[in-house]
Amino acid sequence: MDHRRTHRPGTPNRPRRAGCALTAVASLSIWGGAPSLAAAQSLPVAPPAAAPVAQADAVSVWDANEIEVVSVVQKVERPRRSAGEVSLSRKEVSGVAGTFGDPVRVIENLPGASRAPGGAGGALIIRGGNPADSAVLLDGIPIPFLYHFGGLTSVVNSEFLSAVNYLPGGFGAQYGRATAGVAEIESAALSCDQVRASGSVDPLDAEAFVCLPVGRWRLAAAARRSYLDAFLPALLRATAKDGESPTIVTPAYSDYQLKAERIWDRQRLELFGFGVRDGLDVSRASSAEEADMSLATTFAFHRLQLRHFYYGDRFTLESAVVPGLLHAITADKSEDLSTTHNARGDIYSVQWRETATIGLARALTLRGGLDHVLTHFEFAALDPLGNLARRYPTPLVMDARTQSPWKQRSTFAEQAYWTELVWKATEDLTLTPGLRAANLAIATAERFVLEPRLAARWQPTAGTTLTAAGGVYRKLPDLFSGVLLEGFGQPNLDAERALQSVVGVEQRLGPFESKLESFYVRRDRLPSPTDEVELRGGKAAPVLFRSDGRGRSYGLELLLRLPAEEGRRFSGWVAYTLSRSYRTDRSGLASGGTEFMATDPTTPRKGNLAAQSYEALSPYDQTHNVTAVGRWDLPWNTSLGFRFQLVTGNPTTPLHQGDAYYDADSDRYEVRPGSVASGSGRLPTFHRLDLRFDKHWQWKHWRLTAYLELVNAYNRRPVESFGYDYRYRTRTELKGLPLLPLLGVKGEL
Amino acid sequence: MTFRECLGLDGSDVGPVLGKLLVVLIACSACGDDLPSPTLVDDLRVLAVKADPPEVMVDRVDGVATETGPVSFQALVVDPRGPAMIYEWRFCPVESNETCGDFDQRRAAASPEFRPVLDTARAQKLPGQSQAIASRSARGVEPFTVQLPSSLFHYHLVSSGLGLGNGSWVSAVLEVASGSERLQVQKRVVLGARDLSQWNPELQSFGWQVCRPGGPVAGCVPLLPRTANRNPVITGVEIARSDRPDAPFAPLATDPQSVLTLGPGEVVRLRPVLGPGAEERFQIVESTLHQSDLVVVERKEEVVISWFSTAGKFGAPRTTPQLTKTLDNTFTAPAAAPEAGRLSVFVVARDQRGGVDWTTVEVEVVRP
Repeated sequence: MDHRRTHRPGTPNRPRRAGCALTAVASLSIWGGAPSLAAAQSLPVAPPAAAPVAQADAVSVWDANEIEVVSVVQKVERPRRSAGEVSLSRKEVSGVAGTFGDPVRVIENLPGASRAPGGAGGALIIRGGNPADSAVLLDGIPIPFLYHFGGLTSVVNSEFLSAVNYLPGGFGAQYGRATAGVAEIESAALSCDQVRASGSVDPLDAEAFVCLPVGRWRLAAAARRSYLDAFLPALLRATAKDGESPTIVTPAYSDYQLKAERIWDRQRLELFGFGVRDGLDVSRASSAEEADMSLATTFAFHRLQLRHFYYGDRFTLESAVVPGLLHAITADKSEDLSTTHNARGDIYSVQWRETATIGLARALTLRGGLDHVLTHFEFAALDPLGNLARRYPTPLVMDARTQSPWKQRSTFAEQAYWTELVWKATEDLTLTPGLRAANLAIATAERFVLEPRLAARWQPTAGTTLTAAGGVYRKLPDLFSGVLLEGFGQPNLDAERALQSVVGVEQRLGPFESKLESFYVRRDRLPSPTDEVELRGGKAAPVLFRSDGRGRSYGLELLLRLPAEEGRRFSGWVAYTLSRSYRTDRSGLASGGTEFMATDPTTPRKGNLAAQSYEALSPYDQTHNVTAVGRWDLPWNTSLGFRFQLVTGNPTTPLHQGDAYYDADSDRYEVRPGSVASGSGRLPTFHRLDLRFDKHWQWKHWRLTAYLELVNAYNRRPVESFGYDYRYRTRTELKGLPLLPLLGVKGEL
Repeated sequence: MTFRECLGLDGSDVGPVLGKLLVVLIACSACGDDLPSPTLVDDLRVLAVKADPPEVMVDRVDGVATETGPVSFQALVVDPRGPAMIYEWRFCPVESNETCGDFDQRRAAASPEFRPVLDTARAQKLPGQSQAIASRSARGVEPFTVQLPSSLFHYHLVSSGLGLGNGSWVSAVLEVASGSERLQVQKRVVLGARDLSQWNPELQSFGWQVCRPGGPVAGCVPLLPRTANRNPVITGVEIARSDRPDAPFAPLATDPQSVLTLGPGEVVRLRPVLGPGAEERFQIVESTLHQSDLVVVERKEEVVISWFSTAGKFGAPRTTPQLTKTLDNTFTAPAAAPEAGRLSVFVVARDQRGGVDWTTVEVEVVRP
């Protein structure tokens, strides 16, 4: 939210305290006590009188919305949804160095969030879980991906965002289909009593936003388009050697958002349509020495959120119906080789959510809702990859002449009901038991699950709050992992389960806010690959996966934060996570060429699966993760921000220490399975400093911001992986990006 | 194949996939530049092992498998430094993919009636010491000849349904040691049935049947009687005295006495000449992703050439139409004559079904 417009003169930008107009009648910590912005019109509406009242200091520590909003918008308190929830306002996060000004990317700087391996970012890795174990939500609805190209910039213009909520674990029954954590972006109510617009340009893309009132409606639109595709192909051609046919890489991404909103009486109606397209084309022309090739990959999704809010005295109701489409296609072909392959997936979905809050008594609030999803998918592929039949090993890892056709379509419905009771047992103690009952479904697999959860919050003294939460968290294996799909996996698998327990303390230390939290997560019923074959209906069929994989994660997280406040020139936080995460399955032995796959431990590795399970470090394990973020407001409308990260390197398997042998049929060396322990080495420690300098110019009707961001300011290229020689005797470091200066300009009307 | 691979995904989330692909494409242009090249042979290497025949087929007579002839293994072992070398061949009767390191485990899983034949077959071995042969860089390793008892066929039929139609494999494992260096190598030989429909009663327990010539059984797999694979033959090597793709090739003598003379840093193109029948047609049994149904696919071998040299540099480590459009390769002679006076070029052909052949070219680098 724009600071200039939303800050009410004379109102300090600081955490709200009991006694403020709104919190006097509302707010309570359910899963922790942080209120967040729902936004309504300038109503004579008070939030539910019976809703529990926040304890001043307890709430203020994590208050997300220290920015007062314009008079037509009212805050409605919503309970904290996680023991360790962190809510950050747009202002607080929009200037963080290393995020390209993208507020959503700040999530990766919070406790419990791991740095994504490989340096591409984008994957949300929380408390040792796999990326697919965490949910990424926009207004409570899952979105397929949060960033363009997995890590460049978020897919929704920041003008539409009000807060980023980060729930690393122990979250309430409201959230399902996740066994690790939740990152939820809340969209903002449109605040444009008159036309306002903004536009920005940086080396990667350009974007524009406009918002205007039309009668009783407010309308807004935004669009963004990258232009890497305009100059990268020309650059690659220009740098090609004479006579060489260069490989041309053409990346492009774009997104759009359209929003219409009307607020009347105690109600608000919102239509929010948005879409994303990421595409990458790679091509090479035919030459005397090389065959032509082309590869085109596109991921796109479109959503239309229809939401209605009713704010009553004792009753609030949020209804949402969200149809969506996800489209993914990849295709390659070569005229010279007469080969064509493709894979396509289309997923249509409609999600229906109802979220109600009823004030039963002064100390008792009932919350509940439903969360249904109807999904139809169509997948089809014609791929060069070998299938499950035995093949003689050859030097051609992939025979382009092979065409394995596969297609599947399915329609299925998931239902979920949840409820939680917020019981303020004493003035200082709040207990929140909750239960989620769900029928999880993917294709032909349906599993009924019950997820009981409990949270407690006790404030023994002013400024000190103890929190605890625990519960059962269930989800089906990720659809895109395919482990539940016939042909690629095993439809009979169980729903994965995580048992989470979290204990923490929040302490105010003068101007600082601190939080210390410990967690233990036990995971079971995870898909574990197997090369067993069983007879089904008299026919031999590969089992592929069994639900006997396990995992465990434990750790300690510390957040020390100096919030942004009026008159305070420095703000920032330090986040430290000490943790360990393990997986136990049959892929715990390494072998050459198939070093365990950092991105998905459940992917079967052909031919080297052990008969029994082994425990190994999770590929996402990071023992120490320290992030320091800060920003100084300097004279002349300037500011200087920094982010420093120090992260233990992810586990890797030191294949050069294994026993390699030569396979004379495939003409390749292989590392003997078991000769080197999987994940027994680590990448070097990652550390990086990012700097950001902002300069604002303010005129009567518009404002201009220019920024210079130095990503990896001291130019230490991180080691993202190791490459091995053909014989696994030596290795080389594969490094990430060097110093990257980015200059951007943003104008706001 | 995994679903993620099928969709071109390698992550647990859709979003990061394109990003990683982009990062890899942009950042990895220099990947591995500082790693040793597989084409440069500067220490103890085994470049190829040939099984003759590469496939062994049995028939069924009076209900039992016919005896097969012996199988002979030959190795191309190279160490340009020329120290003394010892070696040992061992036979691996189980279907191992790790130089028979899992023999005990597989033997324990076998039915007790097969353990004696496994033990007998496993006992076949041949130790020896190296002796110089034609190339100064190649080490002589005596061929290893093994017998495959018919009961071994029965073991594989019972334990794997003969690899669901494509044949099981047994292996020869060669261990060579020179000083402190030690290298293990595995070479498979396919063990199959000429007419697999003769073994339908045994295949029944694996849930499939092969169509009989007399008339198909409902749901049977139409796999025709097979002809055993033969090793490809490299009949010669041709050379073009230019790196231009359109430069004309001329035959190159490859007899032990012939030496190719190149200038320092000279770039030439080399191309193997294959004998007739090097690329044979054959059938394989594939498993569909739908219901794991078995289907028969008609294929033709595509020969892959692996290139090695004791000095100099090749344009590509392997050539085959799928990778490099043609079988020829560029070779850049070293800037100076090697200390040994000559260098050796090794050309190895593989036919995708275990068939192997190789030839050697001796090269002298002379300043014009």
